[in-house]
Amino acid sequence: MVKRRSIDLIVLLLISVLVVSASAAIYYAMLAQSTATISAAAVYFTDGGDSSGILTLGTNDTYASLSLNAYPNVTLYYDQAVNLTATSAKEVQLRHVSISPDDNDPSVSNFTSMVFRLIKADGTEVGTLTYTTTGDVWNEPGSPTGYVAIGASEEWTIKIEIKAAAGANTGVSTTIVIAVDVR
Amino acid sequence: MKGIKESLSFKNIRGSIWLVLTVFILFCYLPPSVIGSEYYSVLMQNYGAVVSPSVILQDGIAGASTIYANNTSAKVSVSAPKTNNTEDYVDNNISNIDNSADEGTHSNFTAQQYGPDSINDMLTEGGGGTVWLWQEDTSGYTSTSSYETYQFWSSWTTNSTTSAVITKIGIYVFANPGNSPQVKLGIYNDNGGSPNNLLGETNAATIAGAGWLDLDIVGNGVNISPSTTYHIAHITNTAPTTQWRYLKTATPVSRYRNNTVWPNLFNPAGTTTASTSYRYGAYRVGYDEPCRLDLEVQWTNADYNETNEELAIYVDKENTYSLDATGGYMIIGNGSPDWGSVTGTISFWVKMDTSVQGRFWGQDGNMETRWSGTNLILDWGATASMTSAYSFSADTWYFVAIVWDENSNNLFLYVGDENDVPTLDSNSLTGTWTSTTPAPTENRFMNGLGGSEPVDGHGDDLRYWNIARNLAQIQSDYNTELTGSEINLRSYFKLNNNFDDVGPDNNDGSGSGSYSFSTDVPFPENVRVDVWNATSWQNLFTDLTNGWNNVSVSSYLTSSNFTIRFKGGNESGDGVQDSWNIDVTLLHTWTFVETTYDYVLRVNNTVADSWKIRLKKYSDSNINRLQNCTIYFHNSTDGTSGQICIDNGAYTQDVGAWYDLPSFSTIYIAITVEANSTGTSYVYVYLEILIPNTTTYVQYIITSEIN
Repeated sequence: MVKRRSIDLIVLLLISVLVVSASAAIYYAMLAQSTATISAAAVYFTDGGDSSGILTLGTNDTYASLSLNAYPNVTLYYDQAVNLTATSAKEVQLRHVSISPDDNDPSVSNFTSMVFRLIKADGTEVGTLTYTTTGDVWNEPGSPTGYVAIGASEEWTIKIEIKAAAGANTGVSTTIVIAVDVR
Repeated sequence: MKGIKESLSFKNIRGSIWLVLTVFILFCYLPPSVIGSEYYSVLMQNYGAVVSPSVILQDGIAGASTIYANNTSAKVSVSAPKTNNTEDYVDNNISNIDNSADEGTHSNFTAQQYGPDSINDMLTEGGGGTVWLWQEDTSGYTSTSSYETYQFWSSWTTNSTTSAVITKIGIYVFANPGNSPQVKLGIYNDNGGSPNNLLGETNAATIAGAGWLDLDIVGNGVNISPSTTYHIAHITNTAPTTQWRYLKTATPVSRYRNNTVWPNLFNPAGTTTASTSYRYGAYRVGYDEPCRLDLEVQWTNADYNETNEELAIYVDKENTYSLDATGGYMIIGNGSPDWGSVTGTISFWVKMDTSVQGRFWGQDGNMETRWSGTNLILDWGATASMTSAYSFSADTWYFVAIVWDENSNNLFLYVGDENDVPTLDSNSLTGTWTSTTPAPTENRFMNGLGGSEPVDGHGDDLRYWNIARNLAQIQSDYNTELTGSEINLRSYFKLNNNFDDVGPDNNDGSGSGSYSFSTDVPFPENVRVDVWNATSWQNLFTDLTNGWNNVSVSSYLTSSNFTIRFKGGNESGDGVQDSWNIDVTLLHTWTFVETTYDYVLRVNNTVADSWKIRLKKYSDSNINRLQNCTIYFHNSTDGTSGQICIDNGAYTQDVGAWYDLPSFSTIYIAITVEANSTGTSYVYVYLEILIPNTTTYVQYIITSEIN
C-alpha cells in the first residue's frame, strides 16, 4: 500500500512539473499574440497594372479607395484594378459590406452591373462578387465568395468590370464597399 | 483533531491536487482554444461614376451603318455584289429531248415566264383510263334464249409481244336485263381442255344497263405472258331477261356448261362445245393506265458561264397543312352547328397514324362513325347503321364521303385513297335506309360524342354539303381545294394551319387537347423535277414545296440548251389524276465579285488621351458562303491593319493587332467582301479600346451584316 502511494506521488509530481512548464509556454504565447496586433497585416493592398490614377491606398495599405469610370451600354474592364499581397500563408475571401445610394434611389438605374473577380497569381479566378440592378434596386451578392488559401509572398489581383445603362446620365455615381476577409 | 488528521490524509491530499490541476487546465488551456485564430478584414471602397465615352463610333460613307445609343455599338450592312445577275425565264415547253412522248398537260405555260403572281400554269397528269389488250366483236347477236342459265367462256391467245398485268375484265350487255342479275367474271389458264386453273376473278356486280360492263380483278391483277392462251368466263346468279349473246363468226368457239350454280364460276368441268354459229359472251381484258406526268420545258439561249447558276421554281400548292391530332380533336363552331339536314354529304380526308381506331366525325350518338374491326360503321339515325365492306388500315390517307337522302332512303359511303378515286362501298344502303338524322349534341371532327375516342392521326379538307352528292360530283373535286363558295357547300375547313370555315355558314372551329398542323397532306401527290445531263435524267427535287424552290444547277448548265422535266411522284398504279400550280420557272445566274467598302465606320477619339484599339471576333452565323471577308483599320498615316480575316468560309485571323488611336484622331473601318452564294451572313466583333500600358479596356460591339 505504501509502495502504491509512493508511485502516485511520483506521478503527481511529474504532472505538476509538466503543468508548470506548460503554463509558462501559454503565458509566452499570449504575449506573442498581443505583439502581433501592432505589426503589419499579413495580407494588404498593393498597386495593380491598372491602378495608376484610380487607386488610393490608406494607412498600412489595409484600405483601398478606387475611382472608376462607367461607360453607358458597354463594359469597362480593369483587369488589375488593385492587387492583394500576402506576407504569410492565409485564407482570404471577398464580402459585401455596403452600397450607396441604396435601393429606390433613381440614380441606381443608371448602372447595369459591377463585378469584382478575385484572380490568383496564375490567372485562376477563385471568387466573384456580382452586383446588378433591376430598375432602382441593387441585386447584391448574397454571400461572401468563400475562403481560399493564399500562399506567403503571393500577389493576387482584383479585376473589376463595370457597366452603365444605355443612355445613363453622365456624372451619376455609386459607391460599393467590399471587405477582403483574412484569417 | 481527528478531523484535521483525516483531511490531511494521503487520499484527500491526492484528490485536492487533482482538483487544482483540473481547474488550472480549464482556465489556462481552454480559453485560447475557444477564442480562435487571427481574423481581420481590409476594406475596399469603389466609387464608380458614369462618364461619356471618349472614343465614339460614327457613320461611314460606304454600305449602310447604324449607330446605337451612346455611340458605343454599331451595325454595318454591306452586300456581296454580283455581276451578270440574270433571271432567265424558261423559253418553251416543246422539248422532247429523251424521245418520250409528253404525258400530262399545261393549262397556261406562259404563266411560268413571269411572276410570281396569282396566275399559274396548272400541270395535270395524263394517262388514266383503261388500255384494252383484247376485245371481242360485238357487232352481231342472236335472240336465241336457250342459254341464260349457263356458264359461258371464251378464249384469248396473246401475241408474241404481249406482256402485261391485266386488272380489268369486261362483258358486253346487249340490253338492260331489267331484273338486276349479278355477274362475275374470271380469267384462267388453258390446259388444253377445260379451263380449271383460276388466275383472277372479279367481285359480283349488278347488271343495270346495256353496253360494256367492266369490272376490276380482285387483288393486284394477273400477269399475262406472250403467245399464251387464256380463258375468260362469266356466270350470273340468275338468268337475265334479255341476252348478251353475240353472233360468232370465227374460232375459237365459246363454250358453256349446263346447270352451273352460282357462284361456282371456276370449275367448268363437263363442258359442252357450243354451236360454231354462236358465241355466248363478248369479253375484253385490259388494265388501268396509271396517271402520269412527264412534261419537259427548255431554255435555248441560257447564260452558262457564271459561277452561280440556280434553277428557281415557284409553286402554289394550295393544300399545305393538315390537322395532326395526337389525343386532341376539332370542334366545329361552338360545337352546336347542325349538319343533320334531310339530304347531305359530309366528306373529309383522314389518316390513322398507327392503328385503325378513333371516331372520324360525329355530332350525336346516332350520327357518327365507329368501327367494327377495320370496317367503318355509320351510325346514322335512331336505329339505322351500315358497316362498310371496305377494310381500312393505318398509315394511309383515305377519302371518306358519307351521303344520305331521307327522301330516297339512301345512305351511301364512298371511299378512296391517294391512288384510287372514291367509289361506292358495296354495302351502301340504296332505298333501304329509313331514318331521320338527329339534332346535334357535339359537332366534332377526329372524335365522337363524349370526346373519349379521338383519332390518333391526320385529318384534312372537311366539307359539309346540304345535298346528296353523286359519285361524279364527288370524284370531280375530292382531291382539289375548293373556294368555299360552291353551290350547296355550307361549311368547308381547309385546315391549312387554322380552323377557319370558308363556307357560307362560317362556323369557324377550334382545337381541343393535343394537336398541331402538319405538312403531311393527302393531295396533291409529290411532283418531281429532273434535269437532263446529255445522257439521262438526274433528279433535282423529289417534291416541290409551296413557294420558291431553289437548287444549284452549275454542274448541269454547260451549254445554252438546258432542259428539265416535271414528273409525278407516283408513276405506277396511280389511278388518281393530280394537278399542280406552277407559277414561275427560271434560271438565276450570276457571278460574285470582290468589293471593298471603304469606309463603313469611323472610330473617333474625342479627347487628348491616346488609346490602342483592335477588333476581336466573338460570334458569327452563316459565314460558309464568304469567299473573302476582311475587316480592317486604316488612316492617312499608319496604313492598313487587317483585323478580322475570313477566307473560304473560315477564319484565318479572329483578333487583330493593337492599332494606335492618337489624341483627337479618327480611324476608319473598311470591309472587303466576296461570297459564293446568296444568303445573309453575320460577323460579330468587339472593338476593344485599351489605355496604353495598362490592362484597362472597354469593348464596343460592331455587327457586320453581309447580304
